Amino acid sequence: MSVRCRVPEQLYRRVREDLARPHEFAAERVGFLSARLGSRVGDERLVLFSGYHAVPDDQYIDDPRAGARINSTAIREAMQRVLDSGDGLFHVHHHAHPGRPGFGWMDQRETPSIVSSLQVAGPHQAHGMVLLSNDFCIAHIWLPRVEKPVVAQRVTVIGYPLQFFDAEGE
Amino acid sequence: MPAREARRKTIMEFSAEQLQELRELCPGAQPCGEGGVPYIFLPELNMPEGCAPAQVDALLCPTAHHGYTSRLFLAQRVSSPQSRNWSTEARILERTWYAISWKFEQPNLRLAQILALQLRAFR
Amino acid sequence: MTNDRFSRQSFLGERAQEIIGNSIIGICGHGGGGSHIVQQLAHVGFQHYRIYDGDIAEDSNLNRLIGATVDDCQRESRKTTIAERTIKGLQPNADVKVYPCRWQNQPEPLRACDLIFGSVDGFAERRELEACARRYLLPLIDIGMDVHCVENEPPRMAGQVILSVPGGPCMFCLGFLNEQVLAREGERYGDAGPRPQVVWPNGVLASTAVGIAVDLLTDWTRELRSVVYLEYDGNRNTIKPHVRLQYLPTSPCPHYPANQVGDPAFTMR
Repeated sequence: MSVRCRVPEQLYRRVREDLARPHEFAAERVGFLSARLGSRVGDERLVLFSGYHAVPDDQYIDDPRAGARINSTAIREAMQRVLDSGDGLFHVHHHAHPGRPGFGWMDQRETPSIVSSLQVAGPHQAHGMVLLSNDFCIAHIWLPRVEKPVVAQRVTVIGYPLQFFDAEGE
Repeated sequence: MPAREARRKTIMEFSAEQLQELRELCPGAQPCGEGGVPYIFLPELNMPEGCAPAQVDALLCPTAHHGYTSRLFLAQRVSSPQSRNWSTEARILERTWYAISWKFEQPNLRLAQILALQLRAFR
Repeated sequence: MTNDRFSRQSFLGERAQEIIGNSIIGICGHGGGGSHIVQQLAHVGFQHYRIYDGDIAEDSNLNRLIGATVDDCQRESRKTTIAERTIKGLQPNADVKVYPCRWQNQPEPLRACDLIFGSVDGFAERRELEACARRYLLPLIDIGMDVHCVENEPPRMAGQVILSVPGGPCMFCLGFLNEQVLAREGERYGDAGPRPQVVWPNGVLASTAVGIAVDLLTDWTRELRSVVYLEYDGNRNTIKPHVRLQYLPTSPCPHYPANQVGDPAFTMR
């Protein structure tokens, strides 16, 4: 099963602008992208990003071991958003370097548990993690009722021009 | 009313009271929209006696739609006591819908009244 | 295929041919406009096509259907067959999937495209295609032409090229679609008759559309555009930005809000 993601350019820009804002103590910012699934085309699924929700400044935990950690209120609000809207949610943050980014050990340890909570709230949508670098974007997607994530084959920013971020090896 | 109602935005906001009236005719009625046009999804709408099938998914557009003051789209062509001209096949909200040619004046009608007048064509 | 094949278009950028070769292109309508588009895409080097058209080739198409032959008409060849033949003649290894039907009958493959061209008949068809494109976040390039005959005056030939990018102004925002034109079209249902169509304006419009697509994909001009809505005057042989662009609202498109994407919720049972 392969997954392609699409995000409108205005939304992509809004995410980048928000994540670039400085925080009092967190080295990085975190937000959530709303997403909906497109129906299956052969072995392929579409994830379509539709909105962005910044995590408020007071919902961060001051943890020097991590670029950013969000508290239980932030996670509860994200779950409530899933329940209210029926949308999927993707945890998104930014690593300040050029080129293809990679999820760090903290990301790989903490974020999947956030995604699990989102899956409980909304088992019929896709949830996951998006990571931006200065000039690239990757996404890991947990499809409905699937335990392990899939790496997005392609993330497309829909604007003029189109921007394509393909998975390694594509 | 389900919490998911909040996420569907339409240009025309229907009053809760009118929606409740409509739900007495079709319990699962849900507002939706596409291309700036408001619709109300009517799952398994009961058709008038003598129609086959007796229930069909429907989409009510209570505003001007391609020259009609309102339109009732059905998920399939329905046979009715009087034969009708099925003039329209349209793709809306990722489904194909069918509608008959049926016009009437509708000054300031409530949603339930519009639906009732649309269904009159199938009696 | 040798490296010389695309040497004359290397100005498009170092990665251009790779991007072009990897892009999946949807073409709705392989008639007078769509057939030009398909031919040009094949020349440029596109490799992945999803083509929809439910019609067969007829004599009355031969004045404008690129790639169609007298033989095709005698054999009642499908237009999608002609499309595939055109492409494979230039790109033998291309991945071409044809759907000899309206796109509405098999919409799933269209959603998987990176970009779609619309060369369909009528305003209602355009509304439906744009609604799908907006829902699945697909850029859509629409082309069309018409000839208006008015008594005691020369015919007026006009056309349009519209790039509809999700998030940007839609055809309703641009004033190209509205309830009045849709209503007039609905009233003419059954009385439409054959519409005047000739090859050269289709060529102008299709070439312009392909140029927009290549730029959208490769960014070779490095000229950011917010909206593309071009009007074609076939009597004066001009194509220029539509005057309505001066009056575009600056607010986001209200017809296709950002949160109305993906499969509609009520279809999920």
